[in-house]
Amino acid sequence: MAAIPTFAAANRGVLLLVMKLIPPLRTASILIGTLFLGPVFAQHEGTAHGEEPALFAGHGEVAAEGGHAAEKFNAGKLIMEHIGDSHDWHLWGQTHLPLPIILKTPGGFEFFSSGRFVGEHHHPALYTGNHGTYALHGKKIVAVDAAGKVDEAVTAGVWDFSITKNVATLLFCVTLMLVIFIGMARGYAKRGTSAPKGLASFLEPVILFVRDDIAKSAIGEKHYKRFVPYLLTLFFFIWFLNLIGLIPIFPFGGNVTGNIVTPLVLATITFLIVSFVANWHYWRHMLAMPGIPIPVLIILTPIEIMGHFIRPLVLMIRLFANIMAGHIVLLVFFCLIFIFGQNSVVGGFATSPFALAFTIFINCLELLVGALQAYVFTLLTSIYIGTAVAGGHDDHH
Amino acid sequence: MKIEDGIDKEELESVNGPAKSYGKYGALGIQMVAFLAVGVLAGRWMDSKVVLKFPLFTLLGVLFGLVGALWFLFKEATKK
Repeated sequence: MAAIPTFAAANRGVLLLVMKLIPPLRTASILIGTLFLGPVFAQHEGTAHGEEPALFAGHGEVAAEGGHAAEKFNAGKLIMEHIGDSHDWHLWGQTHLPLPIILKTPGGFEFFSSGRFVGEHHHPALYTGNHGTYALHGKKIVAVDAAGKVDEAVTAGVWDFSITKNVATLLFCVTLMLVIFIGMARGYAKRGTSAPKGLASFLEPVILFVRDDIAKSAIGEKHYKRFVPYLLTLFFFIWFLNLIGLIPIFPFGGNVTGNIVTPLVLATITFLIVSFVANWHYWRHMLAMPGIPIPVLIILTPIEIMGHFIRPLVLMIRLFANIMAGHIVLLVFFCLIFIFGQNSVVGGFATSPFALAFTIFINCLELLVGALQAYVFTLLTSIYIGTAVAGGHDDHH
Repeated sequence: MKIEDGIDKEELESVNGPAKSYGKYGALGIQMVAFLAVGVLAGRWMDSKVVLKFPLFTLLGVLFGLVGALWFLFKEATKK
């Protein structure tokens, strides 16, 4: 138990300094990133139309990465494809790891590999399953008719439950967490009260930090215990996914927390928990605040009800925007090499050291941001839970 | 110095302070923007449904959003 004071005291100065530095550094890096983003997206506009038939627009980027000079480098498209979800996992050059595709069609389920959409010489291909013919239209799977045209009516009935890159990353992260934490739990069961070993000695202060400093201080002594499992899961899930997103090589690199769906689900869970555990005091203060005249209540009550929904919304936007912005800034700096390189090789080589240095710098910053965002999400969740369970007469502290 | 459970509370508070305020007040900022955005969007939607001579619901939405944003700022600022 004595781990925290030592841990905290040793890092106090550094932590304070870092906390002071993060906002200006981030602002600066995002500003610089935005400056470069202008030309990048202007270029995107310029080259997006034309060359390819719209149906197979998703495959242009591969050639640019593989170093083929024939196609113009398109940074905007590359960035958007890298931060987005996809049906296959890009490894290097033209090598993609196919992922399973699961479709629910009106006729029944379809299971096949996304490798079926890639024909000879990396050209897009159609796949004919048991219940129809499908094509990969950008990132969306569409049903096509006999003539090879998109059949809108059938497509509307197709539900895509595929194991995409993000789902695969999610499963990988869950496996990783289970291995780490079940291993840790076994270690504690075996050694009992003696000092933790290995990874446990690193993660124990973090777990205690979440329990004592986030849950206990924000929810309060009386109620915090039953929320600790959820808060710990939330913290480590977000933290691990943020870190996984920053490692660029397989099986890492999926931008899961920077995809709006993940924060949306997490914020929804928080919203449901807050709604279900909220006590009489919370609802009374929301619906009709005591001691406020009725004319004011007419305005105040709708605002308070809106606040109930906006708080999880804020939670979602903050995590999503921070992680996505980080990934975009990283990729923009990286793409600068190729933007300068496509006009002259010398330009590319001259830009590389600076772009690389900036990429590494931003990556280090994002390591901090990843931990900070996990902390903030957990902290805000426990503050919301705290307001929902606190109040009443018995626990003013 | 209040020591409880082997943990020095004051020590923890002082370390946790900056990050905590970063989280709290950062959320407050986004919350203000979100309130305004929801107010404006709801107002515009209403105006597209009920067409009047001037955009009454958008104006009401802006006002509503502003009041909401300020109300929650006030609530957070006066806490404790």
